[in-house]
This record gives sequence, structure tokens and C-alpha cells, in this order.
Amino acid sequence: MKAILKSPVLAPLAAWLLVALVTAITTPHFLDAGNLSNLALQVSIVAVVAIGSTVVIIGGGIDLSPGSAIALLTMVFAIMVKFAGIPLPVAIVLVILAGAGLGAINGFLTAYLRIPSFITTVAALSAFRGVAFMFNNGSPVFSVDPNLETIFYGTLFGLPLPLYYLVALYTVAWFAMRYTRLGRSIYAIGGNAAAAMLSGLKVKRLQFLTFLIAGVAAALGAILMAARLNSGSPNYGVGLELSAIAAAVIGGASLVGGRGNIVNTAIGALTIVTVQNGLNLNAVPTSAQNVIIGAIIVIAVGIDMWRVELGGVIGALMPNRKNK
Amino acid sequence: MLEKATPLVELQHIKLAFGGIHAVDDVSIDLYPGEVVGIVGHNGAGKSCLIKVLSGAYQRDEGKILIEGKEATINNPRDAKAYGIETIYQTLAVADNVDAAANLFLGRELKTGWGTLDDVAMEAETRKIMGRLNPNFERFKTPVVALSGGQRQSVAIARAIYFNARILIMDEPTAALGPQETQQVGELIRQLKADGIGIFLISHDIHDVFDLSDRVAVMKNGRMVGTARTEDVTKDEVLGMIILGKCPPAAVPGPGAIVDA
Repeated sequence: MKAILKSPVLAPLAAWLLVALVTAITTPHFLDAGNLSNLALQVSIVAVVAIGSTVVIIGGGIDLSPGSAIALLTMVFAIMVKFAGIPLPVAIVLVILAGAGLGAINGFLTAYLRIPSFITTVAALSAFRGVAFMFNNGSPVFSVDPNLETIFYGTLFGLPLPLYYLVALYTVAWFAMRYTRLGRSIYAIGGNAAAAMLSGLKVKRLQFLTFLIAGVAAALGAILMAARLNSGSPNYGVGLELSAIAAAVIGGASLVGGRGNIVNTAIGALTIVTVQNGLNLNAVPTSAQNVIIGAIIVIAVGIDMWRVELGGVIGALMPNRKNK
Repeated sequence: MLEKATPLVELQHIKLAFGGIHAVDDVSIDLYPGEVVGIVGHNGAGKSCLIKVLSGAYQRDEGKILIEGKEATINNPRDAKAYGIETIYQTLAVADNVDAAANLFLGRELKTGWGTLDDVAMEAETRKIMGRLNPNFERFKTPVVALSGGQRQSVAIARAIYFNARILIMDEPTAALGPQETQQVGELIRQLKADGIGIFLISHDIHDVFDLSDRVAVMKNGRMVGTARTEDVTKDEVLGMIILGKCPPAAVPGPGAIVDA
């Protein structure tokens, strides 16, 4: 069908295939089963966090805090389970609530106290990790619970469990953004907050909610992170916010707000993690990797900003970015 | 005759200040069903601020708003909409990144039995109303940022009248439009008037105002110079009100009028 050919998913998918192809050619091990499953695990964390980043970006904000929120939340989770003896299901719920609380702090400062989200969340980036170091004398908590691995990284019908979690979360997020009033309203406040206000939308509450959602997404990422390594550490999640934002932007989300697509963010996450994986396999040092990730973000945002000027070229290459 | 009925809207002694600046100073004005009241004045005369008090975008410092004789509580745009007050803003307050239907129903979306957005119904309704307002309008699936000024204006107007507005505020409705579209808006105003809707028309264009309004209200420096039936005054007299604040004999002077001996 024509609709499929014009689908906005195509362009990011093509970008990912290109990255995967280059990686597969340059390294003999990319397609090894071990590497692919490792890739899948890495993707799941970035992709879950990126749901929150995308929602915030569509609503016209930015969230730089999820990496630090994850460090703090893995510590909270590990301590609750290991030292406080709280049963896993209860601890999971509490961590999600704690994540919502962290998001609520960002949301309150941004929406109600009118401090730009770039500032509030960069402050949170610093503060959340600082708080994470206050627990357990700043030491990681290891061997949290032997069941974590099976619950979160087991397999079902031969496929890794994180895949099911991802599909479920992305389905909910996609549906909410596409088919509910909440989603439509978030697009509207990101597109033109003043017009949305005059149309009677509760702009502040909606902005607040986007950060709350991002906090919950960070909590889910923290649970996956803690389960994967069976530990909590104040050093987890460094730079994760940038991977998540890159995933959203590669997926076509616009940092000026009002535009973005949840499904494309998943592909964006896959792309950014594949790049990291390819760099690892090619033994590119971490320092250089950080530079490359930075460059990718700048280029992806640049493509968004230069859309009008590049109109014809980009339009031909990336139909989903076409404006008219 | 009209004056004997209960006014649709009465704004009484409205005051609005930003810091020390009195944007609206002790302004009273009323509007009857099926009436068009033109509000004119220089830039900065307080016209837009006054109507933003009525539309809920600004909160007044003092004064009362009566809707059909009863005091109304209007603290935000939602409150105003609940009273059937719809506004078409000078700046065309539309969400650029979504399409016409999404704008029309923004914040009041139609839903399916499942509680999800009913895009099909919203587009059908949008097609219906746009067919009436602007039969040439075809770009239903395009974000409104890509539309022309006139098309965007018709989206804004459609949004205002779709929800059975009783009171319509039009802030420079033709400022962004070409001559043909301006004429369309004029016809639309007459049509809405015939439906018994009361309209506040804010405009720079005194010809437009004389053409469409039953009464004209003149503001200067945040104060009301006076109001007059358009048939009782000349354009020159109204210009005198706007520029000099001088109230002609046929007009009802307000607190802002210069009373000369």
C-alpha cells in the first residue's frame, strides 16, 4: 500500500539499516548471537528511557536528567530489595513511584515555577546523581536478588523478555500519543503553548505530566538496568540521557517541540545503540565514542533545524521530515 | 428597540494594569444578541486587553462581567468558553503543527465509544463546517503551518463558531487577509449576526467597522471615549474620537471623553 511506502518509519529504518550494514561489514562479530543479544539488552534500556525523552520533547521541553535518575533509582531499588527486605513486586512499584516523584520535581520546577526545562533538568542531572552517592556510602549494591535475571531477561517462546516489555510499552505510548486527548494535547502545547492555552488547554498541567511520564520511563529503565547487572550503582546511566535524546531526535522528534513519533524513537534507539556497539566492536576508545555520539546529536538536530533550507534534498531522502 | 432587552454581555468598570500601566481603565461596554459592536482605537488604546479580559486570557483587576444579566466568573479561557464566549485572535492562535481538525477540536476532541480520539468524525465535522465557511478549503490533512493566512483564519473562525458560540470576539479578523477573504469574513459576520450571535469586532479599519457594526466604541489610552450607533455618526467624527478623544453630540460619552465647553 502507498501508505506503507509513505510511512514515517521508513527513513529512520533506512538509517538504522545503513548503520547496521556498515557495522556488519567493518567487524566480523556484529552478527554473532552473543553480540546481538547484548545489543538487544542495551537497546531495551535506552528505548524505554527514550519514550520519556520523546514525550517531553514533543511537549516542547527537554529532559537531561534520566541518566542520573537511573543511578539514583537503581540504588533505591537495590537497597529496598537487599537491605530492607521489601518483596520484589512491591519494590518495583515503589521504584516506579519514586521515578514519578523525580519527574514531578522536574515538572513542577519547569511548568509551575517557569524555570526552563534545560536548566531544571541539568540541575537534576547533577542533583539526582549526588543523592545516589549518599546511599550506602556511595558504594554499589551487588547481588540484589537472583530472581531479577529470570524475571527481566529470561526468554519466552525463544525471544528475550525485554523485547516483550518494549513492545508492550511502545504500544501503550504510541496509542496514547496518537489516539488520546492527552497525546493530542501534548503535541499542541509543544507546537504553540500560547495557542493551546487560549484554546482552553491546561498547559502547565500538561507540561508537568510530560516530565512525570519521563520520570516513570526512567524508573522502568532503572529496573531493567538493575536487573541486568543484578546491582544498583551511583555510577550507572552516565550519558544515558544523551543516548535517549539522540534516539528521539534520530526518530524525527523536533527539539523546538510539537513534532515526534514514538515508534520512530524505538528505531532511533536501535540506531544509536548499534552505533555504540559498532564502535565498541571496532575497539574505538570511549573518549572518541563520546565525541562521535555528540556529533551525531548535533547533526540530527541540525537536519531538523535546516529542514526548510534543505527542503528539497531532505524531502527526497526523508519523506517524513517534509514540511509541506 | 434592542436596548430594552437584557444585554448578552455587560462589562462594568473593568480595570487592568500591568505594573503601573493602566492598560484598561474603568471601561464599561455592553453587547446585545445579534449585534455587532466595533471597538476601535489606536495601537495600545487597550482594545485587545479589554477583550482578553472577556475571553479569559487576562484576569481583570477590578470590574464585573455580566452574561445575560448574571454575574459571570471568568478567570481563564476555559471559563469563557463555558459561557459560550469564543475568540478569534489577531495572532491566529492556532497550533501550527497539527491539522485543521485537530485545531478545531483542540481541548474538546470528539471521542469514540472507547474513549479514544475519533479522527474520522472530527475530520467529517471539519469538512462540513469548512464547506460553509470556505468551500475552497481542501487541505484537511496538512499541519496548519503550511496554510495561507486566509486558510488559517478560516480554521480559527471555524473553531470559534463550531461550538455554538453566543458571543464572538474577533480581534482584527481581516488583518492577515486578502480583499476576497475579507469580503468572506464580512458575509460570515452578517450570517452569524442573523443567528443572534453577539459580536465584538476589534479593528483598525474604520471602513470595516462602519460596514459591519451596529455600534462603535472608541478607546483611547485605556479609557472609553464613547459609544455611538454607527448610523448616527460620521467616519470623521469617529476619527475625532480616536485621535482627539472628542465625543460628538450623537455619541454617549465615556470616562475617557474630553468634555469641551
